[in-house]
Amino acid sequence: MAMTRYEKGDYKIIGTKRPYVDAKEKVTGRTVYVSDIHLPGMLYGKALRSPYPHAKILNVDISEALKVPGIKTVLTGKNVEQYKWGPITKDEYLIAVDKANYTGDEVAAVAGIDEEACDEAISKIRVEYEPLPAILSMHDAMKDGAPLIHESAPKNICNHFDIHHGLDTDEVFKNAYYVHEGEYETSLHYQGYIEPMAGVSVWDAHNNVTMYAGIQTPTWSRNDYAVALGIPVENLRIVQPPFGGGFGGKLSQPVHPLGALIAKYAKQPVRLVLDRVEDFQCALPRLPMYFKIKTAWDKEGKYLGKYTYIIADQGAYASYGASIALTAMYRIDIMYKCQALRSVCDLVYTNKVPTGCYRGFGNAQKHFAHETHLDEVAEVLNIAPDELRLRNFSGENYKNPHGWNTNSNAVSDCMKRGLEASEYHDKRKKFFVVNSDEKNHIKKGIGFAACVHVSGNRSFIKPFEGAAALLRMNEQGKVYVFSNEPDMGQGIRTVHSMCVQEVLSISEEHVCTTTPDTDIVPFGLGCFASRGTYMSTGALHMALNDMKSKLIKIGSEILGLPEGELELENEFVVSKTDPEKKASYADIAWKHVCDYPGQHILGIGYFTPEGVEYPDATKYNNISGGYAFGCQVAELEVNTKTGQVKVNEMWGIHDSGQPINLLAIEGQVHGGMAQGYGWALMENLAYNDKGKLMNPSFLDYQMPTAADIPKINAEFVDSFEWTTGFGAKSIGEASLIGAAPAIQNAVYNAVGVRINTMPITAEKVLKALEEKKRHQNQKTSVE
Amino acid sequence: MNNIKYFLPKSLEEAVKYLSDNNDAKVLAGGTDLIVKWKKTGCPDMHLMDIRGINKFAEMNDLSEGFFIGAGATIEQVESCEKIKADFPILSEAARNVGSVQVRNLATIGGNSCNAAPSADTVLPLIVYEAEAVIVSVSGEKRCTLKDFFVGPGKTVMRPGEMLKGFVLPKPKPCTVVSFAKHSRRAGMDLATVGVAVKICLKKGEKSAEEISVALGAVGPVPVSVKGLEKFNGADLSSDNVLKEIAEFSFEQASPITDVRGSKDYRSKMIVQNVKDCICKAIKID
Amino acid sequence: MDMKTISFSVNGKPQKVHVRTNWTLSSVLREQLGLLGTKIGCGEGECGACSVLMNGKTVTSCLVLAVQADGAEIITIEGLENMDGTLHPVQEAFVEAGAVQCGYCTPGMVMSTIALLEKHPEPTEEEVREGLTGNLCRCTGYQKIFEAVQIASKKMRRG
Ligand SMILES: Cc1cc2nc3c(=O)[nH]c(=O)nc-3n(C[C@H](O)[C@H](O)[C@H](O)COP(=O)(O)OP(=O)(O)OC[C@H]3O[C@@H](n4cnc5c(N)ncnc54)[C@H](O)[C@@H]3O)c2cc1C
Repeated sequence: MAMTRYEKGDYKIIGTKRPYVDAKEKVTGRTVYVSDIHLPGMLYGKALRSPYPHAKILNVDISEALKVPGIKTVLTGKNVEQYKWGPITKDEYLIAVDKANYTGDEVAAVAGIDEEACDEAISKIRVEYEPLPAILSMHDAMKDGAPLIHESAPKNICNHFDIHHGLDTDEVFKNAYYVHEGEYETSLHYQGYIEPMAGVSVWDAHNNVTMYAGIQTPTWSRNDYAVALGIPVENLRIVQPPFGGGFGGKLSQPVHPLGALIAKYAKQPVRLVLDRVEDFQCALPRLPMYFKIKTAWDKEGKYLGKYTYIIADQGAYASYGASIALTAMYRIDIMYKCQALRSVCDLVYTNKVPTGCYRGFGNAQKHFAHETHLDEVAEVLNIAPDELRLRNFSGENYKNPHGWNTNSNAVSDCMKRGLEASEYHDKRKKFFVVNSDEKNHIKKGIGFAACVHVSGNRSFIKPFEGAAALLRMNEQGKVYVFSNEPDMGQGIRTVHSMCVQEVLSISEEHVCTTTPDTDIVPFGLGCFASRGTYMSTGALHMALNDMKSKLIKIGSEILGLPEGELELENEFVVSKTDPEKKASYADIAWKHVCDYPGQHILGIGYFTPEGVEYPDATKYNNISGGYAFGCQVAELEVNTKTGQVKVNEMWGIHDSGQPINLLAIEGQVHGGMAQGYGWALMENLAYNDKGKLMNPSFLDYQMPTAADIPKINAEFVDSFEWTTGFGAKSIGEASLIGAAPAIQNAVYNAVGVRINTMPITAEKVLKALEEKKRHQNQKTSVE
Repeated sequence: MNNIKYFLPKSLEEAVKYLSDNNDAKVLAGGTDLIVKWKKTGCPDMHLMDIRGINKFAEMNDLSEGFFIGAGATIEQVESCEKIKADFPILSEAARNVGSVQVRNLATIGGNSCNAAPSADTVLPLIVYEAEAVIVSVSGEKRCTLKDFFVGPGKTVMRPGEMLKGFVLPKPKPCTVVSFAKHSRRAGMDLATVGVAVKICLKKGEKSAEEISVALGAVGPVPVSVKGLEKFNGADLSSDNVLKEIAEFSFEQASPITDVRGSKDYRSKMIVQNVKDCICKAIKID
Repeated sequence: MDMKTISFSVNGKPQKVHVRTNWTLSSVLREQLGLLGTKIGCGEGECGACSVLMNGKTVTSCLVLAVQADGAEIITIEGLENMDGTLHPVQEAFVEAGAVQCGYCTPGMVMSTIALLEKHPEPTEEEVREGLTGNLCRCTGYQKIFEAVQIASKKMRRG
C-alpha cells in the first residue's frame, strides 16, 4: 500500500521565530507552578527516607510522631493499602514494606498543617533497621554471592536481552579485515530541572482522585498510578499545570502517587514537594551503562558488523529500565548501514537511586560509546572520522536489519554543514601545528559526533501509537487546542498555536492552547521519546483540516458561494475571486451554535505514523515514523598541567524535518547540548562506599553555570519528513546525545588521550596524560 | 526544634554584652554558611545575634598600623573597594571568586573566616597579607594573626563571649608582588579544590625574593600558612628548580584528602602546580 | 515559638507582617504576601530562583531570615511591571529572545539581569556570565538569556 506523502506548504508562520505563548506570564512571575498550588484545606506531605542503601525494616514506631501538634496522619508500609507498581516491571511499593533498597527509599510518610510539623514528626518516627550488604556497583551485581535485592530477579538481573538481526556476527568478525574492541562507561546523570518533583492531590469520598502534577505523560501515567493506589484508572484525573522542567525525569514517578496515598489517609488535599536533597537522592536519573563494543570493518572502512555487550545499572527499582536498555542496544543502528548486528544486555539492580528516562533514553549512553568507538576505528584505518562515517551513513529510504526504515534523512548534510560551520578541517590542521610546540601547555582540539534519535518510539502500548488533537471554536470564533502533549518549557503550546495560525489564518490572540487535564484532553502518551512535535502536529494537521472544511462549509452557506471558491484569510472565509464577499469566523461560529444549539465547531484529528509496527518477539519492525539526525561539534582546549578541559564553542546541526518554531527549536539544541556538555565534563551522582550520595546539592553536583557554558550554535538543514502533516521531526533528545562524544573526540584531538569512563574530569585527563608520557618514555628508552 | 531566638543589637557594646550574657548565642552575619548549615541539619533550635544592624561592623578605614576591614563588610563591598583593589589586589580577586553575586551581597568577610572552612577563599590573601584578626568581648579587644586563628575544621581561637570585629592589614612593602589561584572544577560558583595565595617581596630590580609567603586552601583541616619559607630568601625565582623546591616544600605542609571535589593525589599535584604558577604570575614570568 | 512583627517595603508598598523568627524571606513573600513569582529551587542559595532585590542588591531570599528584612526595601519579580501592564525592558527582552523555557528560573534570572545592567549598562560577555553565575538554568543552555541581556541593555539605554 502506498504511504500518504505530505508536501511542504508555502508557510507564512511555520518556520519563523515566535516568542513562546506563555512567556509573558512567566517573566512576570504570574505562572502558577505545581509547587505554588495551594488548595483550600491543603496539608503538606513529607516522606521519611532510609539512611541505609539496603536494610530490613524490622519495626516502625510512629507513636511519638502522631503526638506532634498539627500532624494529621503517619503512614508506614504496613498501615496503608498499596500495591506494587512500576511503569514496566512492578517491583516497587510507594512506602517500603519489609526492606529498603537504597539510601532515600521511602519508609514512612506524614501529613501535617505545615512543613515544620511534618519535619518534626518525621524526626520522631523510630525505625529499627537490620542493615544488609549492599551492591553499589553494577559490576558487582551479578557476582556469585552478591546480596539479592529483589526475589523476582535472581543474580539481580532484571532483564537479559539478546537481539540479533542480519548476518551472523561471528562469521563477519572471523572474516573481517579489521576488528576493533572498546570499553566505555557512562555516569549517573541527574536531570537537574529547577522545580523539584511535586504534586498536589485531592482524594474524595468516592475514591476519585484529582492530581495536579508536574508530569510529561498525564493520560498514560494514570495507568501506573492507579495500580499503585489500587483504584480504577477512571477514578484518577490528572491536571498538568506548568512545571519547572522535566527532561524525561517527570514521567511516571513515585512522588505523585505517594502524595495521593497520603491525601487518601489524611482525608484532605496534600501537597508533596521534594526538597532538593531528596530530589537528588530519589529522582530518576540516567542509567549508568557499561559498554563493550566490538566492530568489524573492511579495508575501505565499510562497517561490516557490530557486537555490543551492555551492563545497564537501573538502581533499586526498574522504572523504565527495560525500554531504556533496549534503546541503548540498537537505536543507533538506523544511522549506519551495518548488516550484522548483535546486542546483548544485562539490566541489573543495585542499591542506588532508581533510574529512569532522561533525554536520550539509553541512546545518549550508546552515542557516547559508539561515536567514540568510530573515531578510534577511523584512526586505525587511517581514514578521516568524517569520511568513515560518510562511507557508512544510511540514506533516505534505508531499511536496516531490525526492520526499521528512514524516510527523510539528511545526516550527511548535517555532518558536512557542521564541519564547515566549525571550520573543522582547517582547525584540525592549525591545531596540529600549535599543539606540536612542546612549550605550549594549552592544547587545542576539535571533534564531532553524528547522532540519530526517533520521533516517537513504537514499543510502548500495543496497539496504540500516534496522537490526537481536538480543536474547539467557541461562539466568538476563538480556537481552543486540546492535546495530551504537555508543555514543560520546550514550547509545544507555541508550536500548536503556530500551526493553528498557519492553517486557519487566525491571530495568536484568538488561539488558546490549553494545558492537559485528563478529564478533557484526548487519550495519548505524552511528551517523551521525542514524540511531542512529530506526533501531535501530525494529529493537529488533521484536526485543522477538519475544522477548515467545516468553516468553509458554513461560510459557503452564509455567502451562497460554492466551497471550492472559498479560502481562509485573516479570520474570514473569503471568496477567492471577490474579496468583498466574506464571512467572519465570529459569524460562522455564532451560526453554528445557533443551528446546533450550543454546540461549538470541533476539529478532530488523529494520527498514526504509517509504516510503523509494534516490535515482534525478536524486536524486529520499524519503531518510528521519522528518524531525526544531527551532527554536534565541540572545540576546546586542554591544559596539560592540570588536565582541565575548557570548551570554547559548540555547534549543533540538525535534521529535524521542518522546524515549526525556529526560536524554540534553537532553544532545544542549546539546552540539550548544554546538558550533554555538563554530562561529559562534570556531572555525576557520586556514592561513597556506605551507599550514601556524596553530592546532593547544586554546589557539589555540578551543572554548567553561565560562567562555564561555551557558545553554542544551532542550525538546521533543509528537510521535510513527509509522513507527518507539517513535516516536523523531533529535536528534544537528538539535541543532547552528540555533545559528550564530540567533546571526547575533541579531547583526543587535543592531547591524544581518551577518557572512556565518564565524566571527563580534569583529574582523569591528567592521569591519562601522565600514563601516556610514561608509556612514551618507556618506548624511547627501549628504542 | 525549629525555633530561633533572635536578637538584633544596635551597637558593638550591646552585642558583646549580649554574647557574654548568652553563651549559647551565635553570631549571624550574612547567614550564607549558617543558614545553609541550619537547614541541612534539620533546622534545630538556634539562638542568633544578628550583627547586620551595627554599621560600625561594616566599616573599612585607614588606621595608623594598616587598613581595617570590619568583619561585617560584605564580600561584595570588599571586592569593589578601591583601596583594597589598589593595595590588596588579591583580596579583591579572592572576594570576586566567592560564590555568586547573590552570595557576595550577603556573605561577610568576617563570616568567611569565622566559619573556618579550609576552602574559604578570602582567608588565603588575608593570611599572606599578615592580617590580624581583631577579637572583641566584654573584657576588651585582642589581636590574633590570622594564620593562627584557625584551630580545626569549623573551629577558631575565639572563645564563648568573643566575636570578630574585623581585620587589620598592614600596608605591604613597596616591593611586594602577589597572586592568587582558585583551582576549581567549574568556572562559576564552586568551592576551591585547591586555593593558593602568594606574596613575595622582591629585591629591587631582581627576580629573587627578600621574603616569600604562601597560603594554601582546601588542602587540610584548616587553611595552611606555609612555615619556614625564609630558607628561600634570596633564591632566584626565575629558576625552575627553585620554583619546584618551593612548591614541594609548601606541599609538604598540606594534608589533602579525597572528597567529591578531588582526590588526594590530584590535590597534591595541583598544590605543587598552582604554587609554581602563582609565583610565576606574581613575578610575571610565564 | 518566637514571633516578631516586621515592617518593610515590598515592591514599593509598605507591608507589616507578623512572622516566626525562623521563617525565611522567601517563605514570607510566597506564603504570607502571595508573591509566588519568587521560586524555590534548592533552598540553599545555589540555584538563584528565589533571587530578589533587597535594598538594591540581589540576594537569595531562601537564605535571608524574614526578621532580617525588617526595614528593608524588597523588589520581587511582581514589582517590575508598570501599572498599565507594560513590561520592564528586561522582561520584554526575555520574551523576545526566547530566553524563557520552563520559566522556573526566570524570575530570579530577570532580577539578576536587572542588577547586572544597573552595574554594567553595556555589559561585556564576561560581565554577563559573571553576573548570572548565581542563577542556574537547565533549559536554555543560557544562550538566549545572554542574548536577552544584550537586547535589554539596548532597550534601557534607548530609554
Ligand atoms: C551558594 C554558596 C556558594 C558559596 N561559595 C563560596 C566560595 O566560593 N568561597 C567561599 O569561600 N565561600 C563560599 N560560600 C560560603 C560562604 O558564603 C562564605 O563562607 C561567607 O563568607 C560566610 O559569611 P557569612 O557572613 O554569610 O557568615 P554566616 O553564615 O553568617 O556565619 C558563618 C559562621 O561564622 C560565624 N560568624 C560570622 N561572623 C562572625 C563574627 N563577626 N564574629 C564571630 N563569629 C562570626 C557565625 O556564627 C557562623 O558560625 C558559599 C556559600 C553559598 C551558600
